[in-house]
Amino acid sequence: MDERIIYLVLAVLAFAVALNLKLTIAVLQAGRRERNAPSPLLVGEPVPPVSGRAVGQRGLRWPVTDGQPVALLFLSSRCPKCAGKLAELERLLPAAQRAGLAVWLISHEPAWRLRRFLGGRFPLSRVLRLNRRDYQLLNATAASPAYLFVNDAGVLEATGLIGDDNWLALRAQLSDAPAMEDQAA
Amino acid sequence: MITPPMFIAEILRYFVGLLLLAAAVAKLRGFDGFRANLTESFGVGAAYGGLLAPAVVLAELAAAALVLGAAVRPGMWAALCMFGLFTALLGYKFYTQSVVRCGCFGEAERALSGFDLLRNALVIAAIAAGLALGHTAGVPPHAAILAAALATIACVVTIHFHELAVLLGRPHG
Repeated sequence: MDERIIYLVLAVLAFAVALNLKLTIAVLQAGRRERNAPSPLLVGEPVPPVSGRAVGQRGLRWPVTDGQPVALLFLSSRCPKCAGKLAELERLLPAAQRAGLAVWLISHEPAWRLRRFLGGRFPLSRVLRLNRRDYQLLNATAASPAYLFVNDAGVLEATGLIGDDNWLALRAQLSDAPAMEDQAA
Repeated sequence: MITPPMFIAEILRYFVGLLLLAAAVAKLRGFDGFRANLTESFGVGAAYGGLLAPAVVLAELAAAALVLGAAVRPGMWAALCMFGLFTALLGYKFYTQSVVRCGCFGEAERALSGFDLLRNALVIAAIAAGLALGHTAGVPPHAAILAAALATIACVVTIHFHELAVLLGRPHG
């Protein structure tokens, strides 16, 4: 047999071995990640002190929950319902700010995809990008559109999907805040 | 006629070139994490980190291009200097801080281990062996393809050295 054919057959076999090794390691790592996957956060437990980076800004925000009540929102560009929530969230921002509630949209998606998804309907300065591992610590089930309400002590007060009873209660509370301030004045 | 030293030198050349390429690609895929790790683990200022991170990636790409291209010897020397420097720095941090993240091949989520340092030492030995054997032009294409394939296996083993060492060292049952 031609020597070149033997070399090429051996090369194909060697490439196949390399691919097999790579895929086997990938499967093992995926299995380990699944076993070590973080469990969903429970109400009343402290939220892990993860750090994030605001889109278009250089510095890290550490921790994300920074000594004040905070609403962490989870929206994904791949979730059909999420785009429909943006207008509501943007309307909510000024009232939340007046009430001393920090609102952050949390994502692990690339900045360019977030810009395209948000399309100016939600301020990028209120978007924090986390690495995938930290994101999973906050949102283990990758739920969206979802939220976490965290109090000023960094303890989880409520969690659920945007639009559920807790969410509607918060929205009503924020809507009433200006009226109550007016009455007080 | 290809001799065993020529063939081994060719395997080492592809091994070093592909390894540098894999390192650069892994850093580019997790570029933000790599830049942040320079600050967190190595105390590089944020501004310097912004300059150093792309510089490291570019240096690795350039060395890979030299090794896989026509300037093999300068490329191997550059690779030897880079791996030597990185390993010395990592070894120092590992010794003084115990917990340090490397992100050399994209494994930034776990801390640096002794296996990673051993891997780097083996890579340095491989580069030195490649330099000692020298590069001989005129390796036939079919032999070069086989050398590249064998080097690819070595690259996969090297990149996942820690995982494989842990896996093989784990008691069964």
